[in-house]
Order: sequence, then structure tokens, then C-alpha cells
Amino acid sequence: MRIWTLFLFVTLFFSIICVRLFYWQIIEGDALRAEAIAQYSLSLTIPSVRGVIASVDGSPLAMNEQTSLVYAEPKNIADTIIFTKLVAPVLRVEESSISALLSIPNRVWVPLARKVDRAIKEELQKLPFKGIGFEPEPKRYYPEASMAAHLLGFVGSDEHGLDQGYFGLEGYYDRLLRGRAGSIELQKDVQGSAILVGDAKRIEAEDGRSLTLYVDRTVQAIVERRLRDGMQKYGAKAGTVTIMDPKTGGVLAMAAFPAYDPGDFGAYERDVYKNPIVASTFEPGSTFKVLVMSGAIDQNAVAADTTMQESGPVQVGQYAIRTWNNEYRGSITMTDVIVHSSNVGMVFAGGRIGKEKFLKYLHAYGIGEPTGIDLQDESSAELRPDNEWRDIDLATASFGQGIAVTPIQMIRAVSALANGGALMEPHIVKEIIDSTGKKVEIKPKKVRQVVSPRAASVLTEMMIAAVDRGEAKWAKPKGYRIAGKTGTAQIPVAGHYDPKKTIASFVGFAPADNPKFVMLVTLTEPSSSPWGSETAAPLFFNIARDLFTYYSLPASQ
Amino acid sequence: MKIIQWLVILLVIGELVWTNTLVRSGRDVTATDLAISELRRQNEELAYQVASASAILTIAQKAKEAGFVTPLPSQFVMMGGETLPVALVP
Repeated sequence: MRIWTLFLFVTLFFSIICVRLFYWQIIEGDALRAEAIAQYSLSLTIPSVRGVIASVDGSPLAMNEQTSLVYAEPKNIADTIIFTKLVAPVLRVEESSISALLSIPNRVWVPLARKVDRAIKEELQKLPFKGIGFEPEPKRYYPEASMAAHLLGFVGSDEHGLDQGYFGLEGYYDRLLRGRAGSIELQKDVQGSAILVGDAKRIEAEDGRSLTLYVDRTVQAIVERRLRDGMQKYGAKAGTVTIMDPKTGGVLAMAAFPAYDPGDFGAYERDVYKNPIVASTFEPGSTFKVLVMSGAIDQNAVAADTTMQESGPVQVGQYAIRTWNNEYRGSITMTDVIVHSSNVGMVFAGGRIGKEKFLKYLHAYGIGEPTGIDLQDESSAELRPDNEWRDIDLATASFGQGIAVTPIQMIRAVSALANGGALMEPHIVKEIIDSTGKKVEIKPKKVRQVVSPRAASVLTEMMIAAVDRGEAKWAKPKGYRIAGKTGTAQIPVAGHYDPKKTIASFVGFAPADNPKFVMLVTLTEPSSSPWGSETAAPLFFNIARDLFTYYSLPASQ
Repeated sequence: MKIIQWLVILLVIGELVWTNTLVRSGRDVTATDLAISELRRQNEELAYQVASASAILTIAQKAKEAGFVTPLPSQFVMMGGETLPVALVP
């Protein structure tokens, strides 16, 4: 009996030990291992640095600023009421929100505010208590403030609170710019210093790539100043200016108002984030005539000196098409059609091309398809299917009505005329530089030859004549050969055109014989005059004057 | 036999010294990492200051304060009192 009792006692004793061992090794094993690892190993995230966006001269347009993440350690705070009362006004947050954070049970670390600048950090450091700490945290900084806002986009947060680029270049190149975070895991001693004989695992962070743009910040500044002044002078609700190098397709400047400050994007309405130059369409009006005429010249359907009779409105089906001022000049050449912006003359030229070829040129100029520009929010109005084009559609499209384009589509198409008929892909970024300094150049890309160099040359002369003899000749800088065309498009409202609401525009390039830049100016609903010749054209010439000085381009006449 | 004993003792001592040196140099590595991160922070701070100081908006503001003006079609300064106008820009 005694031996059995002893046996049972020993069995029970070892059973309890086994159960206890099972509990610690199997059930609690993972948690204990994690706790042990936390005591002797050090695990850190090595953040990647977001790349810089710089203008063509290397000046940063978007870079990083050192700010801090402010956090609290509730266990080290002696009096949470005093802590809250002192910290809340410095951080400019409600006391109740800090109290709520501090009252969450079992929290050893509570983030209070993100991306706090240095002045506020220094103010907090002066407070006489423990329990507040700081972690370095980069914040996007735009040295030129709101300049080129639509082009740059901005950096906000994703659903995990991590930085993410939105709109413009920040959005389009987000993955390249942000890079890849690294990590380091090693064993540490009691003081937290690394032990080199232990196991160490290090994955280096890969910093984001930097971008060098075609954009020239001086040209951008000139354009923004002139556009702001022009909008004020002509009472326009909105305006855009785009300048492109016709030979490369590189965008030299891109400005749109109303704009916003990408460093403080939250203070603005969301509607303003979209870049109207790539995301909004408009009816181009008479500026479109140069594209249609170039097709007619290219097809030998007309020549510059081909004459037609402009004796009155032309009837297309049940519609009568008039000239813009309802004045008719009798026998006029195709050059005069462009110079005087004759709708009747354009119906004649468009009819000479024929529907099939007319549509072929629209497609070739890239109308109805995205240009492929490296900006996030590009969109395009689709052209109606080829078999749904009626005679009246063809007639109105020949003078730029009933067809929608984005400003970037329009300037790219006119750039082709300035570039011997070759259509280029527009680009903002010129070079991508990785964290080791290795540069990858984005080479200019020719999309297709739209019209022959001969046709482009004839159209250039017609556009020079339009500037020298057209409605806007009074504003032209003397001595320069500038090719250009005005446009005044009525805005379609509820199924009809509102004669008082127009989009005034001017597109052109200079110097005409060896173009340094192509420029498109649009002004939405100018109140001083609805006409492009009295609003967009003088603004174009004012900017052109500044560019002639900046590029040291001498007068040739 | 004695040589082997001494060799073992020597190797054990050597091992201890070497291990101790390695552990201590861990602190140097940590200090170096901190120095690198501090230099990186200072570098970023300097880049930030350079960018702020060389922004076109800043330059334009400073030029205005220094008396530079937008060129006009004709500009004159008066020299020798108010009798001798000199054309700056024709």
C-alpha cells in the first residue's frame, strides 16, 4: 500500500511538471521567445529618403524637410492634466483629443502629432516634465511655394499613414520617388549597444530616385507672374499657359490658375488639385484651323495661294455657317483664310480634304487619345466613331467647334508644325537619378510624322502672316518672326453656345524659323473682351517678350 | 605536455580579449551610426536652407528690397543735380 501511494505521488508530481512544461514551452513558447528576442536583439527600420524633384538647372522644386513625430509615454507622465494643458496649445490641438489618447489603458507609447516643425519641437523641449519624445520624420517641402503646383502634385498619406504622392509628378512617379525602406536586426548588450559577435541581418534602404525636369524655373516664374497679371487685367475666371520645346517635346513651363500650395494642400478645395492642362477639355475654336489647313496642304488639296469665294454664309445641310464677324471678303486665298480666321474658308478647305483624310489627320495629330505625358491625371475626350461623322460635324470641326481637346493635346499638335511635321511625345522629366548618382536620360520620342516638312513650312508662313496681319497684330513684339493663331471658342451650356462665355486662346511658336518654344495660352470667360485677339494674344506676346530676353534671342527683322 | 597546457591557457586568454574587444567596438559602431545619422540630418538641414535662400520668390523679394525694379521701356537717372538726364535703357 505504501509503495503504491509513493508511486501515485511521484506520478502526480511528474505529471504536474509535464503539464507545466507543456504550458511554458508549447502554449506560451512563442510569446516567451519573442520577449527574449526583444531583450537581446535590436530591430530597426531604416527609412528611405524620398527623391528630389529639380528644375533643369538643378534647383529643387520639391525636397524633404526635417520635422518630428511627437509622442507621449503615459507611464512617465506624472500629471496628465498639466501635461495636456501645456502641450495642447503648443501643438495647436484640442485638449480633449490629447486626454483621450493618454487615457487609453496599457499604452506605453502614444503619437500626439506628426510632421511637427522645428520651432514647435524646441518649444515642447522647454516644457519642464518627462513623458514626451520626438522621432525624426521627413516632410515634403516645396521651396518655390505654390509655383508649378499642378505640375508637381503633392504628398499626402495613404490608408496606413505612410507618405504617398498624389497628382502631377508626385503621383505619377510615386513608386520611384519613395524608394524602399530597409531594416536592421542585431544583438544588443544591456546598454543597448550592438554586439558584433552576435547574428546581424541588415537590409539597406534604397533611397527614392530624384527627377530632373525639362521645366525651367525662371520660365515658370515668368509665366506664372504674367498669367496672374493677365487674368486680373482681362477679368478671366481661370487661365493656363503651357510652353514646350517643339524639338524634344519637353515641357519648359506649365501654369494653371486657380492653383494651390502643395505644402498646405489640405487648405484648398479638392477641385483645384486637378491639372486642367492635362485633365480638362475645351473646344479649341480657331486655333484648330491650323491643324485642318495643314492636312489640306499636305494632301495638296489646297495651296497657300488657292482662292475661294467668301461671298456669304455657307450652307451645310440645314445649317448656315458664318464668319466670326459676319463680314465677307469676296475672293480670298488660303493664307487669308488663316489670317482673317474665316470659318467659311475652313469649310471649303475641310471639304477639299474629304471626310476620310480629315479624320486620318485628326487621329495622326493625337486628337482623342492621351498624349502619354508623365503626369498622373491625364484624360482625353474621345472622338466620335468615324462612321458617325456627319457633314455638319466635319464642317464645324474644320474651324474647331464641336470637338474637344485638352490644352496638352493642342500644344503638342501645333508643336508638330514647329518641328517639321514630326509629332513628339510630351515629357516633363528629363533625367532620373538613382541614389548612387547614376543618371538615366529619358530620350525624346518621336511618335509619328503627321504632315510633310513642306506642309509644316507652308503652315508656318501662314501663321506668321496671321500674326503680322491678323486681329492681334497690334500686340506683336516688333522685329520678331512669330507664328501664331488666335482662338475664341464659345462654351457649350445646356445644349447651346452661350455667346457671352468664351475660352480665349492663342497658340504659336517663335522664332518661327528655328522655334525655341511653342506656347498655348487659354483664358476662361475673360470679362474685358471675349476675343482671343484682345486677351490671350497680348498675354502670349508679353510672355514671348520676356522669353526673348531670357533666351537672348535677337530680333531678325 | 606543458607547452600544450600553456598554449591552451594562452588561447583562452586571447579568445577572451578578442571577444571583449569586439563587444566594446559594438559601442563604437553605434556611436558611428549616430554620427552618420546626425551628419545626414545636418546635410538635409543645410540643403533645406540653401533651397529656401535660393528660391526665386526669396531672390525676387530680396532684389526688391535692394532697390531693383522691373525694367521700363525708358529709364533715366539724373546726374549733376536735376539737369543732366542719362538714359539707362533706350
